[in-house]
Amino acid sequence: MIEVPLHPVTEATIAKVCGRLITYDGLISPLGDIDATTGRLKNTFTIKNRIVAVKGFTGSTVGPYIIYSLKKRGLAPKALIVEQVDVNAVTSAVISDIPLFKVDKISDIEKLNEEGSALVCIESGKLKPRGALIAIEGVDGAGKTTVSKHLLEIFRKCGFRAIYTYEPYYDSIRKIFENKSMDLTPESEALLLVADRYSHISKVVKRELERGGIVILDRYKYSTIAYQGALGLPLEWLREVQKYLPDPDVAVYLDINPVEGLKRKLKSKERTLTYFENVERIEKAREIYLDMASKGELTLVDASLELPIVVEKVIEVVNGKLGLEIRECSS
Amino acid sequence: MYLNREEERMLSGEMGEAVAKAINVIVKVGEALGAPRLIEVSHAHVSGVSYFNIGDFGLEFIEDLLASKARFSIFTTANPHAALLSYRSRGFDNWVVDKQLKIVDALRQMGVKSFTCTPYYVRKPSHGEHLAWAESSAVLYANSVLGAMTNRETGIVALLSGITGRTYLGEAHIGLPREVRYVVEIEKPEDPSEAGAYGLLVGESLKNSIPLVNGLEDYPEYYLKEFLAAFATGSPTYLAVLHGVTPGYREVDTSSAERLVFSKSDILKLYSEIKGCNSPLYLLGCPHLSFEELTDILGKIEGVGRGELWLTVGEHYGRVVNIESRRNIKISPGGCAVTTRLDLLGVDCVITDSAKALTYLPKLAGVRAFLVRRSELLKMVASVD
Repeated sequence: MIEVPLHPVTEATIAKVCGRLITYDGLISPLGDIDATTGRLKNTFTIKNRIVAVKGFTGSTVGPYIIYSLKKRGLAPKALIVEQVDVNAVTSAVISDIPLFKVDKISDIEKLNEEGSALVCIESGKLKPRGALIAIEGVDGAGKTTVSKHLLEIFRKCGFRAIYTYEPYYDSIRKIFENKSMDLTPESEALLLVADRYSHISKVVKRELERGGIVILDRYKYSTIAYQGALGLPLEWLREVQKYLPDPDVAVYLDINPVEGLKRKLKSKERTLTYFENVERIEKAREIYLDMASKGELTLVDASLELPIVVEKVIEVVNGKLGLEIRECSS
Repeated sequence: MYLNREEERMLSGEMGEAVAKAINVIVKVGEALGAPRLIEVSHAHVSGVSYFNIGDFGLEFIEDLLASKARFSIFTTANPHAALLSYRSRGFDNWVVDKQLKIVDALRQMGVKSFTCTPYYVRKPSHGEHLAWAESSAVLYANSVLGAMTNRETGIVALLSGITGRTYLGEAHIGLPREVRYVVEIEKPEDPSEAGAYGLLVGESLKNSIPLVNGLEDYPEYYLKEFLAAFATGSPTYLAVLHGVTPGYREVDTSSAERLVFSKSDILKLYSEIKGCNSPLYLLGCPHLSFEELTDILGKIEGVGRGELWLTVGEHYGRVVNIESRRNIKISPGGCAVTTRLDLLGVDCVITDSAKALTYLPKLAGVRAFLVRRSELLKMVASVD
């Protein structure tokens, strides 16, 4: 994991601050470079609620007044990081009550943003990539893949580092289910899926999170609880075997009537139902999903609505949970 | 940073929210710049007063300070405002004038004594006195001519120093440097404008270095003022040691300094031919004229035939000079032409004797500018008709 040591210049009033990282390897002159009515830096991204790392401040001493004004209008960054500490940077931070840090080399931080801007936290004198794990759950035909891919596109349009991935991840595991090359029991089925998941998280997902990336996961541990739970396995056991997996930052459950869902699937492609796609089993899985949603483990979104509305609702959930505002780049 | 008991009390909020906020900024700025402690100052001079410069954001900050009951606890002066208060009808929208008036009113309510860029004409600091001044030309004058001590403050720090009576202990407050890297020789200027022209070239050539300057001994103080104002335009430093002028200049070691010579031929390039300037605005008073200069100028000219002559002076002179009978001569007490959008007044070009104004007018006032010697400018003004 890339961790960058930071030196506090003004004492941070908050112990930990997390947000989207904006980097600019140059000097900024707030008067002229920042639009005080929108908080946009050099006509690109807004700095509102961001962790903003720049080489330093320059230009007119009016600069601090502009940062102060942004703060009063709720458009200020969450934290400022500079390579060169000067009077304008310090004054801006102190009068606006924004934590200011010094970094040895701005290029150390820029690396984190090479493939789109990262989600990071500043904690204990370090800038650490945080990333975000977004799990999209739901029964078959709920639109998980479509919604996930829309979400991915929006994140990328907004300049984020983001990937889409799905489970089961490994072909060899998927083939066992498709080819019935092994006599499966509910237990072996669960353990195969969970084994796939541990490897997937460890080798693919974590690596991405450690770079501050956003990982959109099409099915996660809740699928095993719902689907293998529907086969009669005790839910506690399904939770137990998955307890070393990280909790996602956002877990969305796209809810749809299973019959509707399967109709969608059959309509979309000329195909027959796969091993997992059995109405009765899906009905039971849905019950378990709904129960998890009612307990707050998952956030329910009604997936029977038109796709754009579903996507919008998912974005609302993501924004709320991650403290982002990605709607602005969605059009 | 070390704070004494009184400063700790300020920081803790015992003396009110505004004082606590103000000293917090000064402490943080000082810490970031490596200052070991604060220092008591007796006179603050605030920059960033023109509405064209600080805009709504600066106005908002100053009004918030006033609302939080901030008041200056020491003698405080402020830079001139835009030169528009007496020209309300001349082309600025009323809201611009009103916003400028709001800035002036808020600062006045907080205790500003006068609006000028030459605060040493309002209250002359003594040798060794500690100040918190923000106007660069005044900073250089205080340190280099008067032997007072001030950081080259930003507008906000000076504002907050006026409230707290403190600033951070920067190197300017310790005394003259022990040695300098450059000794500059300038050929005798024959006009205050030439002194300014030298100042600009020297400042730009030396970047961040403090020089010792030979050649300005035995000149009227306004030559020094022009030299230093233009020097500060070109250089970010807080001091130029003037041989024969700066108190203590003899103690500065020049034995290993590089010698640089500036002659008349070097400054000639700044005096370009005046072209396409049919109805010029003549400007004298950047930095503001002293009373001596003002009376001298008014003694030499009766009126202006074509164009207009602006004399910018400290607010405090506005009440003592009557120029009603002088055709096309305007005095702007407490006003600054350079930080005024002259283009909005229909002004296209400005003829001035100030090398500082020459640099800033195109950037800040949106006009073309030409440099002439003061003696020539007065002749030009008198001969037009």
